[in-house]
Amino acid sequence: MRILITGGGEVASHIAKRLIREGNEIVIVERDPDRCSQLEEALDAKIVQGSAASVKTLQRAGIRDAEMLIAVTSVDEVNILTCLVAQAESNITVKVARVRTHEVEHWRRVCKQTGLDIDLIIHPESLAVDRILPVLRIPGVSDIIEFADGQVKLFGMNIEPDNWVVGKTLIELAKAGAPKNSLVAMIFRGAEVIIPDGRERILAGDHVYVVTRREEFDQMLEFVGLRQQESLDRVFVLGGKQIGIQIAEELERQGVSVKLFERDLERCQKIAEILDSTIVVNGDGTDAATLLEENIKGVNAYLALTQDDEDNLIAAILARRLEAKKVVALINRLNYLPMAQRLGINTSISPRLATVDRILQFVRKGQVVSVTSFRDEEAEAIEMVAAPESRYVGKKLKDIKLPQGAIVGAVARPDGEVIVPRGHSSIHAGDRVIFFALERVVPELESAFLAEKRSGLW
Amino acid sequence: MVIRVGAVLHITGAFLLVLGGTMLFPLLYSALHEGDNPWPILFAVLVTAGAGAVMFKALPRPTSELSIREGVFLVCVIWACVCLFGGLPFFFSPYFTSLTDSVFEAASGFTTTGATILQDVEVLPDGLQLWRCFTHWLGGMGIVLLGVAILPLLGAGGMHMYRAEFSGARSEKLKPRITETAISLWSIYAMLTAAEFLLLWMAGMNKFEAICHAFSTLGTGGFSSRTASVAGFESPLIEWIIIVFMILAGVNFTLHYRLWRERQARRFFGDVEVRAYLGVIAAATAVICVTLVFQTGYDWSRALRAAAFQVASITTTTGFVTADYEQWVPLAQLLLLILMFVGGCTGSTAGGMKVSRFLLLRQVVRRQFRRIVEPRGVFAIRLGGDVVPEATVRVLLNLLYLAFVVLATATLILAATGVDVLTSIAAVTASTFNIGPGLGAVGPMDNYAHFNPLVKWVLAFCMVCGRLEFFTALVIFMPSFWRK
Repeated sequence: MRILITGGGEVASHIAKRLIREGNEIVIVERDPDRCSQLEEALDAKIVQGSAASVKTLQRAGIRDAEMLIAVTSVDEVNILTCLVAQAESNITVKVARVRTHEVEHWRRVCKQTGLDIDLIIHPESLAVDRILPVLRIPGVSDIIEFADGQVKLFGMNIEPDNWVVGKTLIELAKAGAPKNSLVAMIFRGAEVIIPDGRERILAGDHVYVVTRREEFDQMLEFVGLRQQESLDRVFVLGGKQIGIQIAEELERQGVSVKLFERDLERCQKIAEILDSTIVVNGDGTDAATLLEENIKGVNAYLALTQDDEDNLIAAILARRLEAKKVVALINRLNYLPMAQRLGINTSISPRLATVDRILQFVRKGQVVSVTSFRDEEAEAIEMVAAPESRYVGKKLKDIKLPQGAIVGAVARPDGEVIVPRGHSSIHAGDRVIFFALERVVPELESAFLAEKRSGLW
Repeated sequence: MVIRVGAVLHITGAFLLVLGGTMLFPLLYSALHEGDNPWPILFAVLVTAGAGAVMFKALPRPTSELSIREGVFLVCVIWACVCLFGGLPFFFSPYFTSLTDSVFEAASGFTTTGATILQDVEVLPDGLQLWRCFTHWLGGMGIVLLGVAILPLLGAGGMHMYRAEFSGARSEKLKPRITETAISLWSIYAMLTAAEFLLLWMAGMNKFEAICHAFSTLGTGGFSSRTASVAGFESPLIEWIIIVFMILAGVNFTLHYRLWRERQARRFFGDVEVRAYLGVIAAATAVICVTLVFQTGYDWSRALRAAAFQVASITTTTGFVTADYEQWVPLAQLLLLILMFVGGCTGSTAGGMKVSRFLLLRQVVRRQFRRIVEPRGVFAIRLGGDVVPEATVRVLLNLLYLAFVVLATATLILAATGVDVLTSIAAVTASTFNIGPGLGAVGPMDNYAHFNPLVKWVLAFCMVCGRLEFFTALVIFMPSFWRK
């Protein structure tokens, strides 16, 4: 498929890299010549230097022959304009645009009313908020991801040195009474990603992902020594940008008392007008004295959500030291993500990674239900529907030759049964299968799973 | 960032398998023709493919994509291996006496130089003749580009390699994917070759010689199946056909591709480089034609044909010969020597410094003049309406310096071994810019057999150096290239 991407930022280059590996032709339009040559070095794609708002540039980039447009420049207006040009000038069938304004809902409506047919409008801030909210109540959990309409849950946790699971192999854990339908799906250890088998030992400092059935979720949390906070009383939010405001609004709605720190006085006033019960503090939320004054000790969660990755990291570490029960840091640069976990930050949220996931999931749609990347895209969770003609259907798991570095995490049957499969379980047509895989084997896995059974001699 | 030599050799192994595959073509031809001796080629295929298979199997496949450095190194290794293994059919035959000669002939073939060490070409069996010309054809568009088109193991690394091998800063990517770009270029190349083959055949050449000359022309090589080169056919029609195709081969192939797909002659002839290139050929032809008529005593039609042929042959760095231009007046000879430096267009199979570089250089000098007049002025450098980035200008100046250093060093080495001044200069220039025949003892009626082995190795290195446009071939000698 020929795909045109406008804007050559980090999201664009990540999506492009993945789509190229999956066999698509990519053209990227980017304004900055230096960035263009960078992209040219890194990607097997055609790079066109110019503005995505220019019809001529878009024509030069071959908008006529493209089948899909992904508009991810840093400017909302340009993204929408590009979609407009695509609608008028070409046969592009699928249009995706990133819009960062908080008025995104209005834009969705306006586009629909004017007949501008944008198939997916992505709002990264909302995606980030959606990822933050579920984990606030469980301090030790880094993220919770749902599959198969919530029937399957995956959660990540840092293994503290005093956790009783340290030093145990996965088989030992199963014998110690782990819920039957659960599985340690991925272990991030230092720079390494492990898709473990039963002999793998859990070590202190590991970042572990566990997949489980919804019904056994609480039991599993308890098993690995995680406790839910009964209620959220107090939450600190650092940074009064859109995402901070959005999350404060949501927490207000749940009756949580929120304190929002913002350095800019004018901005504070504006936020105070938008938010209702939240206390807007005009001060430096990365300053220990200020935080102590505002009584940070024992706060249920501290969310560092400024625009500055470094500020967020430092602030989150500080808050952890000042005994916030849970710290969350917003991190834009993907290559910082592996570090955050090791610095003791419970949850790191990347709107960019969320955007990449959302777009990839959309591009691959069909049999692929969802895609979630972990850390710096080193591993992926993929939910796919088993088509009747898939090569995996009707076979026992132990007879399926999965690529090295991939496992089946869970299977959700159409009748509502959910299993975390063992070697003798088999996959039926219509099952939703959740795979965990190293990023580099994903194309192989997908093509094997989605491919039709070979007939005849083969 | 350390270079993974194992990974590089693994991919080189794959390329050697491809090279062994290309040898099947002359092998097949040789085996099907009675009286021909296919054994040298068969041995060469076995050794090449065997070595390739061992390297490919024994060494681990790279787990991640190649870095730029590794890509550059890989291109160098591939070219070295191709010259070495590509010379094996010659080495195993009785007509070549040493490894030096075989490698020289193969290097001359793959770099499309066309300099030969053979006194008499016609004694070679058809199979080897075909392989000589086929090396031109493979090397012309680029053996690496061929690999990129058919080997799926390179990914974005393929782009670095394409840049390292494909000539010129101005060649843009035809298709988003490097593999498809390579396939497009190779197919338009093959189509032009087929067209020339048919025309030559219809003009009276036999099929075998037609295919040999088509390969040589499109690759802008210069090997001929006759010792007397194209002059041996004594056919004006054949000469004119070859003139046209030499000129076509010297044009940017992306323009050929565009012309083929979009059928807009205006864009083709509107290209600044093509205009300048055709202008240079026309002007030089006119001048030489006049000198031939009035000073050498040719009649008009012969003068025009001879002048056009030699100018096209030298400008496009092909190196076919229809006349002993050393008998021409000094002005004509010197003009040809200068044309050796100019070369064809970027993105063509021709060698030389390339026309667009001279156009760009003219703009740089012009800007310098304007700066002297208007010290505070800011001037952009344009080439055919497009603004040229400063980085390109810097690269150009570096390239000029490198070309000078290579030419000067090699010429000095030749002179040190006792070669006369004119021959030293002409042989080094004709090798570095991939032309073939030069002046003096390497003139149109001579060959390179008389040089001593050291000189042959130096010239072979010059050929590869010039073919890869200096940077790629020389950067691996930088100590910092090998540091972490």
